[in-house]
Amino acid sequence: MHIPDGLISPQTYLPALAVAVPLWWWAARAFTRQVGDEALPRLAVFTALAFVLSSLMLPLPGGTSGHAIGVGLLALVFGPWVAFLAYTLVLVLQALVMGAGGITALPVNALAMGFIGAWTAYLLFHLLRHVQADFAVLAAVFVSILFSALLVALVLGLQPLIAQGPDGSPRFFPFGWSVTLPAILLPHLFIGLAEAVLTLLIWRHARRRCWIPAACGREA
Amino acid sequence: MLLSHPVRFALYLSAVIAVTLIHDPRVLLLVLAGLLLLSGSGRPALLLRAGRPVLWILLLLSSGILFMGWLTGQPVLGALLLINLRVVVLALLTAWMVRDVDLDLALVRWPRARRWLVIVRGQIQLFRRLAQDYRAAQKSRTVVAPTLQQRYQGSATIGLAALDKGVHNAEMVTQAMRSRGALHD
Amino acid sequence: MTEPVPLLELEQVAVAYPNGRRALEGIDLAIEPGERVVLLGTNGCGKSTLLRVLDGLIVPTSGEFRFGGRRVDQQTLKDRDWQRDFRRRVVLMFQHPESMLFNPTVRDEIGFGLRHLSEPERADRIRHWADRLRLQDFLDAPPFELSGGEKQRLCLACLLAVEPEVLLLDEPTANLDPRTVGWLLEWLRGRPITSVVATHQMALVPQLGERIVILSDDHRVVFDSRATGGPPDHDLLVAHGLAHG
Repeated sequence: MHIPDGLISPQTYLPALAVAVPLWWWAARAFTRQVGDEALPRLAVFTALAFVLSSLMLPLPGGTSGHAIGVGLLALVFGPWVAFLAYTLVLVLQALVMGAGGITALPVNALAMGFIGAWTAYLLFHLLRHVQADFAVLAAVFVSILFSALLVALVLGLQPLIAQGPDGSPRFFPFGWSVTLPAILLPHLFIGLAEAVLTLLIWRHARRRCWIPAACGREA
Repeated sequence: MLLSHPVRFALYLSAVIAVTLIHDPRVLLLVLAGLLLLSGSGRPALLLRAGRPVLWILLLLSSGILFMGWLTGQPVLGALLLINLRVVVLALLTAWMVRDVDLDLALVRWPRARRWLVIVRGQIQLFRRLAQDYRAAQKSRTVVAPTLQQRYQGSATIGLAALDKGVHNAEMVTQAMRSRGALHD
Repeated sequence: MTEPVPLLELEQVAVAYPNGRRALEGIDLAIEPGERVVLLGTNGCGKSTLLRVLDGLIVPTSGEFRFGGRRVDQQTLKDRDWQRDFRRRVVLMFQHPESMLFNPTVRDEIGFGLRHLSEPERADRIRHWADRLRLQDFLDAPPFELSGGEKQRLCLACLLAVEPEVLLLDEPTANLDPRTVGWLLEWLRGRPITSVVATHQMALVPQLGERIVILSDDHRVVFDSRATGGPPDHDLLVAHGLAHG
């Protein structure tokens, strides 16, 4: 979810950065342990892949479409640490290379969508896959997107409470939870469902390729 | 005085943080004027580039603020100006950075990061071309408007092709770098 | 007096990928210094895999690969000094040039393998190879901005600039324009370099090398002109999908 710079207060993004940095370090360490000196080229390709997956069209009823996020799919295929790293790097690319900005929102987005989103999808899938694999994919991606959206809505809605002027007027994002929760969660109910279906379709085909250990029943 | 790209980039990051610490609309207005002055020629293009990504969200937020003001009877002009100015100033800073900072040169002290950026840019080109080819092929085979299911199948096909290519390219790029001796540096 | 060892030697090499797919079976191949080998076979027969084994990128599942008499395995590849030396002496041009490019500019790309040289020597060699491969106008450009053919020429420049002993080429004519193909053939002819070129372009075979090795669909060597003393006959080529009946 793209949040322009100027809507998230330093009281939010600086602590978020403090939380994100050790997690990024840990993710990089976990990935390097897994692939050794191949980390740089592999992560570069996965970042480009994540970038393109986030441009996939999500068909919605009425001939409209939205954009996929792709973190759920990446987490199920490559694992949550890679998904977290790749998604963070996509945010960096979008902010600094494409010029879309959002550098101050980056730690919040990276944590909400990249970290929480990836781990929610991964853990829920592994919890439910013995029940029914297709259902596990649908539930994992849907819940992951909704959970990430909830976090973003909570962070945005917090801004008027923690960053206000002496007269109580908001200094950053101006609306509280009564606005952010319905405004963000309701559309993401549809986006979450659409992306869950899309992920399942891709997953079913990818399973046959058998280069995905999780899809083939082997642990990643 | 010509600043090096790493210095320019560091200044950009510092300026972004600094602007989020300013809460007086008058100061932000001065900052905006200062930025426009310092940015040199091409100001209209720069402003346009800065304004485009944030226009709709600012319109939406501003309408919401005005509506809340009308509903509650509270003065909202200060907040309206502050939020709009801050978002525009930050967008302008980013647009200026993208125009005048060569990220590759800014990363000159971090060769691995530079390599990563080169590979990513090249790979994005490949993936984008793949997605475009698939979309063009689907369009050329479409006689009647596709159903919702067919549109999903179309997107899923592109996603799967991208994943396939991702797995394959990761292996190829890794082997190619190893072959050229770039991985045991 | 001991017999000279082949420069590159494969002894009963087999390669199987983790997903169980077999890529090479029982390959015996000895390549002497200065030999120019053309590797023929249809898509999927294992030509690319064989080149990667020769470049030390894939360790055989069974059998042995030797370079200059020394066995190349996981242990050898961990020896950084040996690897550095090997990578300077043996180079591989991949079929898809995008995989090979990771430096910010064309100049940096060509100069990547020359970092052991002094700055003036390095600059000279970069200029020389950029001129030879018509890249002199792109030296400061990012590689990803080049066209497919320009990227392929850039890859060639990068590899030739290190002055290797062994040149491995995977379908080099796939993305090269006829002019550059002609240049490459001319260049190969005049050099005391060992080369192994994988191709399925029959028309260029006589110019690419004197020795022909054919891989079958089941990933084995089914013909080696060094053993037979002559080129493959038409029926053999048809049988292995390399010519029309």
